[in-house]
Amino acid sequence: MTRDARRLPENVSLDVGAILEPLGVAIHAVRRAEMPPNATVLVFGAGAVGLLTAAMAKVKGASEVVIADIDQGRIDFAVQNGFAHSSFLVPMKRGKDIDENLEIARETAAAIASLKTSKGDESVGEIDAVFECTGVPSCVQASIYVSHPLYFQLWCQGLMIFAGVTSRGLCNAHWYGYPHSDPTIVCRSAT
Amino acid sequence: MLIGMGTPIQTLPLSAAALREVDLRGVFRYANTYPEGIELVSRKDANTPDFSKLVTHRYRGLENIDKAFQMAGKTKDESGNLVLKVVIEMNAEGSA
Repeated sequence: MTRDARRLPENVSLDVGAILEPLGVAIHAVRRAEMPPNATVLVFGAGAVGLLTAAMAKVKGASEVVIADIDQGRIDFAVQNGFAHSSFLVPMKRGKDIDENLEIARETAAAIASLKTSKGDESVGEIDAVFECTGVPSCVQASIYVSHPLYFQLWCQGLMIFAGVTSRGLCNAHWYGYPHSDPTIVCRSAT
Repeated sequence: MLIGMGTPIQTLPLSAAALREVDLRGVFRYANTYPEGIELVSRKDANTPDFSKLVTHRYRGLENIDKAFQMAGKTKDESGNLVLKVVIEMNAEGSA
């Protein structure tokens, strides 16, 4: 079913009509996430696509949507305007080598998992679906560490090609946009 | 917007992803989303945010396109306000 033109209803302003394009990215991402019911969701990045993705996850029934960004103003905007339930301010820390950077990513993941939900005293815990809308390595790394085993899906825009796995289990991934494709990398442990 | 295409080469803890059975999926653009998008922005309920709030800056006329794009490239304007979406309005007078 494809149609080239859609009519904007009278009650939708042109401003909101202009949002439909990035909203399409968010709708598509949440469709691909196949979230479990009442999922906990984390969105890295509180720019337009991050905000819209958080809103879509919320509309589609996520029980807790946490939005994370390095900018306090952006995460406050997200929560105050109902785009997300709660927020996390990502600390601006940088290690001197990959081991330090991965340690920082683990700390970020642990801090997010220990956040209290917006509904009560329980902590958010490990996340069912992580939407990565920054492309920043430390956020992608933290996305892996904070994901709940079995369900979690990490969403990225673009294509990942694995160039080789090192003896430490680290992998250098070549990541670039590839039009009209939705590449998926599925990892399964041997157990 | 180049969201998600920021850093082309990334070092990731892939063994951690494999051991925890993390699925990594790419998302690029969209397909068949406009009907759902239009329905969603037409909705008025407590769980759906006001999407018009994303429009933080507005310019009028073709002659201001440069300024509009410069603003869209920033995260904050000169007064420290958030820059999210910039709208350019066109009209008969403004397109000179």
